[in-house]
Amino acid sequence: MLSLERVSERLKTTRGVLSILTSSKKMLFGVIILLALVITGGLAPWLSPMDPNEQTLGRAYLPPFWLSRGDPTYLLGTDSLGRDILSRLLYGASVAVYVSVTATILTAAIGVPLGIASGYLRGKFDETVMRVVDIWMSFPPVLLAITLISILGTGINNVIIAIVVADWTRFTRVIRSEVLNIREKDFILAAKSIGFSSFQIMRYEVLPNVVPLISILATLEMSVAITVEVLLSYAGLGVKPDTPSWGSMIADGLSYFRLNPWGMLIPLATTIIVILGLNILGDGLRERLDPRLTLTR
Amino acid sequence: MPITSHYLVKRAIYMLLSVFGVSIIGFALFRLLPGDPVELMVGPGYFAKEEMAALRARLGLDQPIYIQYFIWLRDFLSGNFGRSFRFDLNVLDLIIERLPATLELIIFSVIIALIIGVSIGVISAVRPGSWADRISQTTSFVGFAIPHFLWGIIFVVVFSAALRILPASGRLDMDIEVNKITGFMLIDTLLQGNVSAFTNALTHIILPGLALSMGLIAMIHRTLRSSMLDVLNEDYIFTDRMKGLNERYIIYVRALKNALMPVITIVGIQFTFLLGGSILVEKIYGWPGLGNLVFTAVQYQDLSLVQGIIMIYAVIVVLTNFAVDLIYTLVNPKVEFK
Repeated sequence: MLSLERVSERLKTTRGVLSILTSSKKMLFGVIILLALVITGGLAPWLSPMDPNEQTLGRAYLPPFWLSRGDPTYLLGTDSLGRDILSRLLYGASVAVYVSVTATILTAAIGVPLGIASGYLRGKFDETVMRVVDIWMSFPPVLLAITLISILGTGINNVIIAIVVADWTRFTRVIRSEVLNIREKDFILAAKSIGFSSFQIMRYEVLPNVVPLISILATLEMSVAITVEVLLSYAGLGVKPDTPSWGSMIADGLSYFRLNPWGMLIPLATTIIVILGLNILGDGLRERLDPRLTLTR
Repeated sequence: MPITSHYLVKRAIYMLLSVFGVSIIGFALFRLLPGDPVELMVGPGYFAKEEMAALRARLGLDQPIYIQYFIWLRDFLSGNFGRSFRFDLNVLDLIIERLPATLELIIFSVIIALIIGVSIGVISAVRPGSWADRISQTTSFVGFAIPHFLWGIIFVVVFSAALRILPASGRLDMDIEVNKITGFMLIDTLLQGNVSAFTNALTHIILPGLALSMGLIAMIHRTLRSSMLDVLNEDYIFTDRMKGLNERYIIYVRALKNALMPVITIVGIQFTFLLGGSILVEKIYGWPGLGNLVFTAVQYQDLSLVQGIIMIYAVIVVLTNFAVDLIYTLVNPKVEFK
């Protein structure tokens, strides 16, 4: 393990970051999955061979091209309405990327300042924040997300709101407990003695030292966000029906499983690989940056 | 023991405060977000405008929000959760009817998780670094990383759709009748001596139960592996070996007994996650419990029902955390309230 100071030092340069990201096979695998997701999701409109919603009923239930009934025009086959599975998968990736990146940024934007302030300032503020976190965590996150969607209605932005509302406590909790350790370090005492204000200490001394932890939490949060999006869309409570999503593809695919099992196996396998990849990346980062941290849900 | 009783009082007050906090969030979710509560309650387009206004006044919805809250809290505490317009039944009655199915599923999955998790945990700890340990570790990483509901779908695909060896939905085959005694299907069938119905119920609960237990298996495996490794290095185990006790006896009785303590804590903590995970698993398997009811309620915009269910889940979580703390203090009196 690298010391806290050395990790922070390395994170300041691109080469340093690269050296951490490629330091183990595990991490490399995770990075490749993440890059593949972001690139395919981001470039979906250009990469997709056809319109994901275009229906060709005469060409429904086609298997992937490598099977005998397959058609090379539809590389991964078609679903019950004759829509191209590859194109839907790529557009589904862009939904997954948009939801997970936005939700992660927003949960971090709430959790990081709150966690730092709570852990550093302690006292009444900390007590209040932790009480709210405790009470909030009494609601199962999935149930909270479903409830919010039932009130706000479906749609990609409501999915993001639901994820943030259901899951802001993770960053807050974990960052706070790390800050409790950091605030006892000598460099904090040094900063105090040269007259830094509390805000300055939190901004310039504490924040840079929780960056490694934030990176670990962010990869995990991305996998949670993708899970919740897939799960909500699976249940018909996610993005609008005309937006392709892995969750709704899995749900549709289950209904015509006997006619073309690939319609559900492909999005299911994609979801699993992406979630595993992000978890492996998070685990690799944790081993490299902070082995003390035990992962909790 | 004065310290313990003092702690218990503190913990009980904290629990009551949590219920109070939960009620505020449960209320605010449904009143502060956009939408007309009366319409949410009776369903859209059910009454004319004047009737809606009259109903609003009768329910005290023209009062300031904090008074509305106390009216709602009073009703909630007296068990009046309102009426479900979808089922035309009292919300609490509906919840009580569905609760046993959910609890049965969760308890079953905890039992599976304990059996599998403890077995592979011991195997891992006895030969750390062996291939059996490495396989167990990888399995538990995957089991933990993939969420409950994806396991649910994977098992449906493999065991129901492809292999066709286990049923994919419900608690019993349609043509089997079982009288309701406890509401727990596995217990009711046994009480009535109906072995074929019991077997049938068992085949139905295996897949959802296993899907729900995957994450917990991983947690138990990890926890037991590390606690067992610690225990196996303790002096008393060394003494046992010196005394020439049977190695199996040392591992499965002497060491396991002490190594299981942290596992019990983990199961307690993870119970609340199982409660959350069961919602989607129930949906996938058409399991007639609370989780499935949530989806029906949401589909029909039956928000008094949604609110009732979310409150019940939260109260169960608060009570479970309280119970876990109590048990933990009783077993291990060194713990104190921070």
